[in-house]
This record gives sequence, structure tokens and C-alpha cells, in this order.
Amino acid sequence: MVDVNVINPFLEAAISTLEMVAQIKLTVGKPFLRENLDFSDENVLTIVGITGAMKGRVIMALPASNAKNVASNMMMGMPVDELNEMALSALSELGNMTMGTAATIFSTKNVLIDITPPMIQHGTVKMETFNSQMICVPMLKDGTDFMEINIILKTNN
Amino acid sequence: MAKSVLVVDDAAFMRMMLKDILTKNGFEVVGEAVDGGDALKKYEALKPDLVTLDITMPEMDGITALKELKKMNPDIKAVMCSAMGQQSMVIEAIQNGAKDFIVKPFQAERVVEALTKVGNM
Repeated sequence: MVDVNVINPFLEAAISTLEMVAQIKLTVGKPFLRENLDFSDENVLTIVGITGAMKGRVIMALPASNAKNVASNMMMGMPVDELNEMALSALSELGNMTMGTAATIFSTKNVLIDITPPMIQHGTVKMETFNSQMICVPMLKDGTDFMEINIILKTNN
Repeated sequence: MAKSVLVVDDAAFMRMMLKDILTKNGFEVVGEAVDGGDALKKYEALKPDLVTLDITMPEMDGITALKELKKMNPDIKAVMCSAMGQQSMVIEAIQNGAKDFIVKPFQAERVVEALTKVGNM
């Protein structure tokens, strides 16, 4: 079961942040539960941990071409042909701003969370997690898959 | 004379953006620090007029750094610049001596307005 009250602040935060820093308008696709995380090297993952009233992490997964597009827009149109340190730093900051915004939205509902500094992972990766629910929300641009927001929350306390 | 600024943020991207905005608007960015500990060292060495401080950073966070900087200079002109915009976080920063609080993502005008105001305090 997916509780929309838990996932909506993350989605709202992602939509507003992407629009503000990268001028990209996203819409929410159909969420689904996943058993494990399995990413090919075509993806850039921005991972931010959550502590406090909720525990877990959020993984924003962007196909490399979209990641370059976002990083370029964030840097005022500077061309990004490869995901160099500055581009990865921009994507890391995208994770920080999205999750900071989510934390602010949760705080208005009296849910107090803190976030960890973001970590970027690229390359083929398989992740397993236990006692957690993994909700994947595809985010669409012009009706096509653009990025995924994976919300991984601990289920028992 | 242009006000000198020390920019403190763990993200190279954010330091670049802040430096770009500030430089284009008549400030002089005299240094950049990547975490709280680095900020203390560079503040002491550079004695900038203004400091922008991120909060979520590895090693020493921005609030802890602010408390330490305040001991070094009780009149420090620090502006927080963080994605963590919860009211409790803003209040904690202001209570610890921050002169303003910019929530990321920000518009360039907001940054210029805040640093101009604090610089003239």
C-alpha cells in the first residue's frame, strides 16, 4: 500500500525544484512498488538519506542523457558533453535542494526530518534493502519518462 | 569598495553559482570553503566582510560553524544559504547570530538583496 501523504511531499519538491533550477516541467507517472533496485550504467543516481520522523533514503535516477540536460540547464546553458565533476556536483545539489524542499514541506505537517549530504552513484549497481518499502515514481516530461524518484522507507521502527 | 565574501558550501556547483551571482553584482568573492572546519580557517585568514554558510555539509555543519565563527567575531555578518528551510532551522540559525536566511533553490536577486542589506548593517 502506498500512502500518498508520505510520497506527495517528495514529488511536489522534485517538481518545484526541477522547474526552478532547470526550467523542466515534470508530471507524476504511475507509482509502483519494487522489490530491488537494479540500475544499468546509463543512469546517474543521486542518493539522499532521511533521518528523524522517517528513516530511509530517496534515490533520484536519471538516464545519463537527461542528467546532462538537467546539469546544463542548472549551469545556465553551459554545454555538458560529459558528466564531469561540476555536472555531478550540480546533480548532487539538485538532490540536496529537492530533499531540503521536501523536508520543509513535511515540517509544515509537523513531520520533522533531516537529510544527509547527497551521494552520487553512476555505473551498474544493484541494491538490496531489508525491512523497507521501495516506492518508485516515474516522473514524466512531455508525457515521456524523464526520471525516477525511488522512495525507500523503513517499515518497522 | 566592494564587500568581500567567503562562500561556504560543500557543493562545487553551488560555490560556482554563488560566486558568479556575487561577482556580477559588485561583490568580491575572496575565498571558498567546503565545510565548517575549512570555513573557520579561511575566515580567520581572509577576514571577509560577509560569509554565506550552507547548513548540510559533511564534517562540520553550517550551524556549528556559525557558533564557532561567532566566538571569533561576535559581529560576524553571516547569511545562511541552505536547502533546509524549515521554520525551526531558520529560527535556530537566527538565534545563533545569522543575519539572514536564503532558502535554496534561490533567485539571484534574493542573494544580492540579502548580502547588500547585511553588508550595509
